[in-house]
Amino acid sequence: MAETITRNVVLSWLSNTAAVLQENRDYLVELDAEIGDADHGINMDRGFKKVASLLPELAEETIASILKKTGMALISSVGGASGPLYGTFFLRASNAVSGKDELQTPDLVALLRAGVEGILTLGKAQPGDKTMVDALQPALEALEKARADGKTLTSALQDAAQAAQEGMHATIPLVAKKGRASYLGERSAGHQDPGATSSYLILNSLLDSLEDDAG
Amino acid sequence: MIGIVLAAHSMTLASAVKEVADLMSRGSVPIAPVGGTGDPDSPFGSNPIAIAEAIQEVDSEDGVLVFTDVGSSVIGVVQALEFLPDSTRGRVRLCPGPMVEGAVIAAAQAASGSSMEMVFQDASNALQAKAAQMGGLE
Repeated sequence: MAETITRNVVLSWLSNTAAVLQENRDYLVELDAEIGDADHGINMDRGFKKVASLLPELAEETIASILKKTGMALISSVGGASGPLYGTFFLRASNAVSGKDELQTPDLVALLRAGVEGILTLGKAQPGDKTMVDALQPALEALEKARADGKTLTSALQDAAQAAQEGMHATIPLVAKKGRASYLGERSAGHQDPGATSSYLILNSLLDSLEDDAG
Repeated sequence: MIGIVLAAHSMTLASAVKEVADLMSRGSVPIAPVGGTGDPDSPFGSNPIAIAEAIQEVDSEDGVLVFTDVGSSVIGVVQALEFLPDSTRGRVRLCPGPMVEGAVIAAAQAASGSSMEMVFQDASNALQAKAAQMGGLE
């Protein structure tokens, strides 16, 4: 088992994410059509296509630089609130791993924590508001717990991805407090949040890339 | 003179509001419309980098008042602030007033040389002025 996230794993993560978001474009649009403005899948697909188009020229850059350029590409191309939010996630994540050639579990904790804090600061959402935070915050907590328990990087990331998936499912009964869905009030309950869904897909893509790297 | 930025989900919307506001100022107030994604398949959205450019386009020592339409325009402006030089960021105000009514009031006030504080207050209270105009008809 590979126990570090190398630059190649990061590059693979971003290209996997682009592929997964393309596959799930219509699914995310359907989720967003129920409680939002039906553009989340289109926006995320557009944003990560832009990121994917940059990857060949980032092949020799540092992990921090790759993450930073990913953030800027998302900010300039996504269009909805998820552009600044995910953009901030990657910009803060970049700062958290500055100077690292590869990432161990504590680095991944720092990356995810900085990214989630960036989203909380910019979006002002709290857990339970039916947003991407409801997938990301449990993932961060699971990752921190796995690290404290001394689990391997892959095992810790598995825990984080599973927590994100559970958090995503747990958004279904929630009433939205942020974004376009909050205009629906009680009618937003009964639908899975598209932002929590894309957050899970992004984290799960990192797990896939790490496991692929292990061969 | 203060500058005004209209940050909407569509350039058509932002540009139309600018046309209405320009009538009040006879075009004397710098007003920059910004909006849309540039993607013909999904044109509605905001681009924080384009918003930052619009702010710089109308920036002066007197400051910049920014109006937003809905949803992610607000978060787009907040993110845009991060891309501005400190000097500019310190004189940008984000107006909670409605875009159409607020921009019209702001353009008229700015054209007469009002301070940022006065323009901000009047534009922020634009819905009260509208309610008063309706005089209980609503």
